[in-house]
Amino acid sequence: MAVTLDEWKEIFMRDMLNSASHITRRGALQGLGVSLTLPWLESLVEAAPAKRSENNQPPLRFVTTFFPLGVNTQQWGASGAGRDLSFKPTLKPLESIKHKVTVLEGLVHPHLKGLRSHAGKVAAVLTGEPGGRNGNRSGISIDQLIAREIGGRTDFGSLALGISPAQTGRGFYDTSISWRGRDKPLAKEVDPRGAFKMLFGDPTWLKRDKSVLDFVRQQAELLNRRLSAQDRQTLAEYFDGIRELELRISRLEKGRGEWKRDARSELSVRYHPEDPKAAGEFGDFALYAPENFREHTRLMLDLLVLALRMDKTRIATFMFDSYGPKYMDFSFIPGVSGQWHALSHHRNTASTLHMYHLVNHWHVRQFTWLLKKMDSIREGDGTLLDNSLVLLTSDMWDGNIHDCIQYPLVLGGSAGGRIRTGRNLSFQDGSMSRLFLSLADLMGAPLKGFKEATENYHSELLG
Amino acid sequence: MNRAAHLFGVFTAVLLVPGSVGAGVDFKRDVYAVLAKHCFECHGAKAQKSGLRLDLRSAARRGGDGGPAWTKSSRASQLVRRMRLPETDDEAMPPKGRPRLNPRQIAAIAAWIDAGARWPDNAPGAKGVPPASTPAHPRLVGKPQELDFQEHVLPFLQHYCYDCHAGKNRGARFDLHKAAGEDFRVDLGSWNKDWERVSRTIVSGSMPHPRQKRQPTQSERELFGRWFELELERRATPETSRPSNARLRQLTAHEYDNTVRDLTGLDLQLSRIVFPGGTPSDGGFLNRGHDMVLSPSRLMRYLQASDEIARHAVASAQGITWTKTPAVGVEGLQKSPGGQPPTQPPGTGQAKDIRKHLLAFARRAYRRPLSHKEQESLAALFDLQVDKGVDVQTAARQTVQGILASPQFVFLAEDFQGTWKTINWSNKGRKISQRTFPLAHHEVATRLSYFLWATMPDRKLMELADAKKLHDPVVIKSQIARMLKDKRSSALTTEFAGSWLKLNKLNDRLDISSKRFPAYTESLRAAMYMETRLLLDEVFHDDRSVLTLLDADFTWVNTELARHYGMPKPKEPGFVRVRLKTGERGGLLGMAGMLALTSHPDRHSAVGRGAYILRELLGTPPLPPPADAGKLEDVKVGDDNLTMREILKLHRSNSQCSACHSRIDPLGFALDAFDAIGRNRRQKASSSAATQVISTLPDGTTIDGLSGLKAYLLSGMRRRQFAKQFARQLMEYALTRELRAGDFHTLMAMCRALEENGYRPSAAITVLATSNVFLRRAEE
Repeated sequence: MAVTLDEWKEIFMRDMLNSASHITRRGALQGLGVSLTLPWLESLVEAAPAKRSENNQPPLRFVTTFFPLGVNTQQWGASGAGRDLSFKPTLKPLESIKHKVTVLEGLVHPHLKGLRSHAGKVAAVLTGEPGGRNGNRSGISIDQLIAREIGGRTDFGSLALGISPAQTGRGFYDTSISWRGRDKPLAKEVDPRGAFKMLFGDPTWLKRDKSVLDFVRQQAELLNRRLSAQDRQTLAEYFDGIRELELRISRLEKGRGEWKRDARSELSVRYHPEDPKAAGEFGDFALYAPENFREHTRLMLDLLVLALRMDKTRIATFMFDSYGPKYMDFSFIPGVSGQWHALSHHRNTASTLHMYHLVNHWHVRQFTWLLKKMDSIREGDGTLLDNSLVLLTSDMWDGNIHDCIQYPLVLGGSAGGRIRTGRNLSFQDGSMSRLFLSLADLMGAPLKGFKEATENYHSELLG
Repeated sequence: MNRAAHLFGVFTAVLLVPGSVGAGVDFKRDVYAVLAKHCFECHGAKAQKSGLRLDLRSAARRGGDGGPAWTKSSRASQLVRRMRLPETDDEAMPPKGRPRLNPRQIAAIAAWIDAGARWPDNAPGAKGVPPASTPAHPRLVGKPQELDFQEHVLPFLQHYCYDCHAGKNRGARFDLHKAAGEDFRVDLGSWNKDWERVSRTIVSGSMPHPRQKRQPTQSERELFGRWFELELERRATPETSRPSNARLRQLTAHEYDNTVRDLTGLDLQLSRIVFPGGTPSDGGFLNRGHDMVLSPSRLMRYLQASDEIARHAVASAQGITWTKTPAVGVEGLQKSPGGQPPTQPPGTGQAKDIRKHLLAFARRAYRRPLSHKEQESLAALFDLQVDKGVDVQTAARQTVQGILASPQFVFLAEDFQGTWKTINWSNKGRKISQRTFPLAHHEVATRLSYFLWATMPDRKLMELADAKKLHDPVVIKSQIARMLKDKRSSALTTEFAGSWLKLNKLNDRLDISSKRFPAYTESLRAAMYMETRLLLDEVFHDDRSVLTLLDADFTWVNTELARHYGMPKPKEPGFVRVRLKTGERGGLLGMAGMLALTSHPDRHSAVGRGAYILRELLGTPPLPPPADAGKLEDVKVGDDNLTMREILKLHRSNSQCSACHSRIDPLGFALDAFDAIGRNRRQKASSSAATQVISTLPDGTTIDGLSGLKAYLLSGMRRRQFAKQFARQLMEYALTRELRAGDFHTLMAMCRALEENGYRPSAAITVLATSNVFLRRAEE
């Protein structure tokens, strides 16, 4: 029995409400069992054969995946090119897709080399500006600069996904890599339900609520007049939200950009009411429970691929974790015990270094999985991966001493065949900002400069 | 230039002083006498700044904290290099303002060094050995009120702190000299967090840095702390009190649910739509506007949640009622049968009544009267829908949806209008004036209700606000008494104390090893949580002394918890309040929940418990361990049979660790009788070492077990620290921001009120809620 997306939305909503009564985490987990499997989400949405119109090039996507706390630098890296490209142990999982990746060495924000503390580093990766303690500072990130240019062509200008919710209590400098500007971190969506609903729920309700939205805007404006300058700044985010929704409504009314493959209309949703796995337990998914960490990660990556594939957005960030109240415990990886942060301070102890490597290795495996998944989706003459730029990076190099002498970097995809992949590129005094200029240019959002850089790395990357 | 002078100096020295030691330099005359004149005052028998003593051969050769004074070559020698620096340089020696050496004298010393720095046995200072550790340093003794800043405190700070925190050397970017000035200029302007940190770190032993050799004694630390508090108290006059503003904030998830519940009478728990995945916290209060993140989809979520709420609304001419079963969906209703537009134009009776009720609803939702424009806009939304032919029911629901998605509802905004009052103060001598103005009465009602109840004001508060009575201290006081008695005050337990004491984190302690502790079941964990909650509820609800948290002669148990504690089974089902006879349990520290909270998954942690006491209960957090601090496993040198206590002892023998751990560990050891899930290990037979609970603090105080620890915490400085910590946390929670200089007067007043009123929470709450930091806002 197939249901429409509209009906699905209702079911989804009901489940969310049903599960809203207080369920203890452990109780929820017992109910959860192993039912939350990835193929299930897959089965929900099934792509029909693509209707391609002539002269219609698939769009390009830019994704940044991020994990904090640096890498075991002895095990990270690659050498050679083409068939001879070979990886050090941490990057070994990339072997199976090595012809579509580029390993980048020696890139950093030169002015941040001396930044020694944890604080501010996460925010600095894509912005080149360290974050402050209270969620302030930093600046606009490269993904948002690109989104400014091309984000208007999709339902969602950009998408920020993650695993750990934003932290409250002591500032949130460390929970976002994507920044709309100084003092404006993007909050990540960490709940698969929320992300699914937001991305794929029936958006027609927005049109219906237009008058309500108008009213909310009026009320917000009236309130704004009564507020102090500082409070107005806070409320500005609310106006952003209103504007965002209005944009979405107008996009709905006008129709979409040049990429006509509106997958939503080509998707059918299958739902089996007799299958207990289908909906109920999904609603009980306990976020941020270590037991669910792996599944949670896969699910969010799945949603990410789905969003890209359906062209809901072309710009996305995904954070494997941030410096949350707790660091993920990676004891589920055989051979690893202890908290990630503690492992990153390995003090050159062989056993700790090995575990640090294993955690990095796990992230590379997830990244590889993402690339392969994207590569399995045909698009135009290539694959979704071919039409993308997918970064993997971290906020530091060696976690032991928090140093920033270079960023660990792998780039998947070729922006429609333009990047010569399957290579290890090593830069002397390399600049992350120059890489950003290249990426922005490839994405069709050329920039005059970024931080200290005014030139890009096209000659190196495009080779 | 310098180099030329140097060469010239050497030649003249050689030419002028022939014979004697080295290259024509007479040690006694050209070196020792010169050093004696210019250097011994600070680097001699009387004082050894930076650990350097130059009057004795052995000490001089060893050098000071910054390394040796000289090496083989004079050019690489600090002694000569710093003598040659221009007077204006921070490193110049002798320092600015002191008589300088002339180039000839310096050249002679340089030549002496280059010739091997010979210090003949018959020369002065050659034989003497510096006494092992009798640094001549200022001591703090006496009564705090008798200490004088110039005479006692400044030398103390100079001796212990100025090496790293004065002038050019600014560790942690903090210049104590600048902050203190010559006359301790801590006036109301410059009292700030920095100063409080100075006091806190010195009292707690975190500073001087554990790596430093020079450390004051424990009694000196405490004396300094008392002096500092008295000094601040003296300076925190009422005029210093001035309000500052918190950042505009949204309702927290908890507040959102409570508020919707009180608005509609339905416990819908829709915050899950607005805050997906919950709001995990590192322990800070969730209501802090500064730390809230607006999610890109938040507005959409508010719209969706308010749509859900609106479906429960039923509008009629009599009013808006709320039903448990929601309408199927607004869209469904919109399609009126036959496609005929409903016959209820907005001017007609029913629609008019409904519009009136909607305005009344908005007044409750916004927690204040609507402005004229707000009313107009609201009426327009409703009328527009009805005009379009939407039936009144749907139009009413859409209006409800709009009201609940408006920032007036989801933000706790405070108006920026009112009668100004100018206050003046000075900051480091600079005169500053600032305008403040009173909160509107409805805003006072809102502050009070979200402070004590975490929900919207009730009818009574709104009536008082309407009557403009909420700036009257007597009214506020009686309202506080009433509100604490109300069961909604349990929000103080869950939202305030739960965060402050990290109690809420107990819900996350699922990681305790079930293999090792099979008794730790879900129901036991819930019972542990409930026990602490019931204690806190009683403290707030019955207005009991907050010291009850440290020690109580009662607790609550259910069957499972009683068994866990080895107590007789309660006669009634559920939780029963039991009197405690022995000092075994009672108070937070005897509760299994708190003991589990501070443990590792597989074992209890003396360090975790000690740090918890210092950080959360006393408000004197130890410094975080240095990044390269080892793990306990590394300390374990080849002996697997060491007890944890012995391992920690080894750990403390490392000087880097000892300063903090000598304070942390003994507090934790006192709780060693309890395992990771709070069972008394002495109930079972086990080795004596494992249950040794007598420990000694750095100052020699001996603590014997839980009851000893409780007595220790309830005495002297600790009782005051705990009361202050409670007051400070309460204040931060109520004001939804960090404390600032202008809050200090109120904080001290709260502490005093606690002391004078048997530590009852209402005393502190009343002082706070009637203070001008609570009742006024500042101009920005």
